[in-house]
Amino acid sequence: MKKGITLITLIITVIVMLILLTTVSITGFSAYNNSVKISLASEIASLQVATDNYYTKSGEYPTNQNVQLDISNVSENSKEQFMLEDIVDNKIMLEVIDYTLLGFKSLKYGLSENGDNDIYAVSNITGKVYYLKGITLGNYTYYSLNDELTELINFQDIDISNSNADGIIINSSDITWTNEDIDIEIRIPTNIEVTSVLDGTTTVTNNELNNTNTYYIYNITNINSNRDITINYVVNNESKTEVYNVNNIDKVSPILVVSEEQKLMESVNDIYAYTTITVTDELSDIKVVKYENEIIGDSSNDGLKTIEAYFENNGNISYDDMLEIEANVSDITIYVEDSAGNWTVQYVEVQEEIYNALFEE
Amino acid sequence: MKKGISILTLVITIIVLIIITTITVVAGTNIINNTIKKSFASEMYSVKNLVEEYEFLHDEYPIKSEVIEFNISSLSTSDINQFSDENIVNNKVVLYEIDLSKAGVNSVNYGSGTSTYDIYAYSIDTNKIYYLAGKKIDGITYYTLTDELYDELGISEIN
Repeated sequence: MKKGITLITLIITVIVMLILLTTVSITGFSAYNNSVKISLASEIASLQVATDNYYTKSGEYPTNQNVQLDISNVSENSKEQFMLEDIVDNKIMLEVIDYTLLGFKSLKYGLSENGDNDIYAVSNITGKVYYLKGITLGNYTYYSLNDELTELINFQDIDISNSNADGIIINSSDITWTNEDIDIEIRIPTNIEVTSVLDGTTTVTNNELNNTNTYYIYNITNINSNRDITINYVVNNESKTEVYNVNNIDKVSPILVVSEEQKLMESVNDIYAYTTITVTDELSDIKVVKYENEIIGDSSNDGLKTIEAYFENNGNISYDDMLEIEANVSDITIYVEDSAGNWTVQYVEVQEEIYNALFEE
Repeated sequence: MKKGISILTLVITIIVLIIITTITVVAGTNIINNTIKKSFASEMYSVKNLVEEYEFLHDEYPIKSEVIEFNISSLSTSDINQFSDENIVNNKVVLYEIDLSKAGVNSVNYGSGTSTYDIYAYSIDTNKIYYLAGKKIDGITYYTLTDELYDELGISEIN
């Protein structure tokens, strides 16, 4: 009997090994691709919510410069990720995200280490976050959180962009408290039948198509008071309403009431005086109460400008309703500003007996 | 001269195959574990951001009113450490279930309520978010955004 392994055994072993290797390679490759997709999706999702949160709180995106993305070399099927943006000559304007403003110290992608487009950017039209270099897997390049990536991480929030479930985008020129007029831009996908757009109770009729014919754009400008913007529309034979509340306009100055009573207090080691103030604001709430131990500005227009400019960087902050009167101070200027930037000022003359009691040589 | 492959060659081939398989499996497991870790951390971070955003806009938390007294007595010491910032009384931590739909979350991979503790909870005292069922990855059970999970996301500070 011959020893060793026969040729047929060897061939069968090699075939089995090849089949195993092929299976492992395909499974491994697929798992690796999925891992890359989940990794990218997780990172974009984290940046998206952090960017949304930043925008909600500050009224601006955490960006440091504009960038123009050229999509002329992007394949047609990958281009669908940009269809909600304004595309001019195959170029899209975006804003580069400064991820350090969001508390990120590092990222897996978008660190500007692999070419100019190795960055994350956000669209100020849709609020969507994009990875401009993109990651190509097969014949598709992933730039943003598309349906496939969203499904992979199975996480979706309604604030993922500025659009509602039917793709209507509403952008305000200012979403934080303001004492100035604001402008609203409404973008309604052209596959939606618009019944009416109402600014308060007034019907808005003027609209135009964007340059890719994907949206009707309604611009409502110089909105000077809080009200609802209502969009009535029909999609898939279902009548729907989208309401945007303009509720961040406050043009009313805060109310400051200074007590006429000035009290002198004496303790064992000290003598001091104080008066009390009451501050209220109907809408945006009090942002800051400041005072200075002298008269700042006067009642003329120039004086008013001086007051606002002075207290922007100067003055003592008052943290409660008590205002201590210091020695050798004959007049106090009290300045109150609300969150929308409205302010009021009042001058308080220190009563003679208080001044004399506190007087120091 | 004898024909065929010697037993020594066969043994060496099998050993090499086992080594390659082991390396592949270990590397693959690491990649999968890291992906799961990043995905879990990202979801928790996203929910946390949405809770904060809701609180900013509405001056209240998107939480359900019932108090959850989460019992940590059965957890390991290292797991309990994840709750060390909380006020622990009789091995219980007071938390509130996050109302995900109120916070604006449409769908989640974890915390969808498939079991009693398959929920996200919020601590009003520390503003920390917890996944009460815990997610076991590579031998460690994660209940909250630990420093390691923040590192996985590349976030430098708890904000």
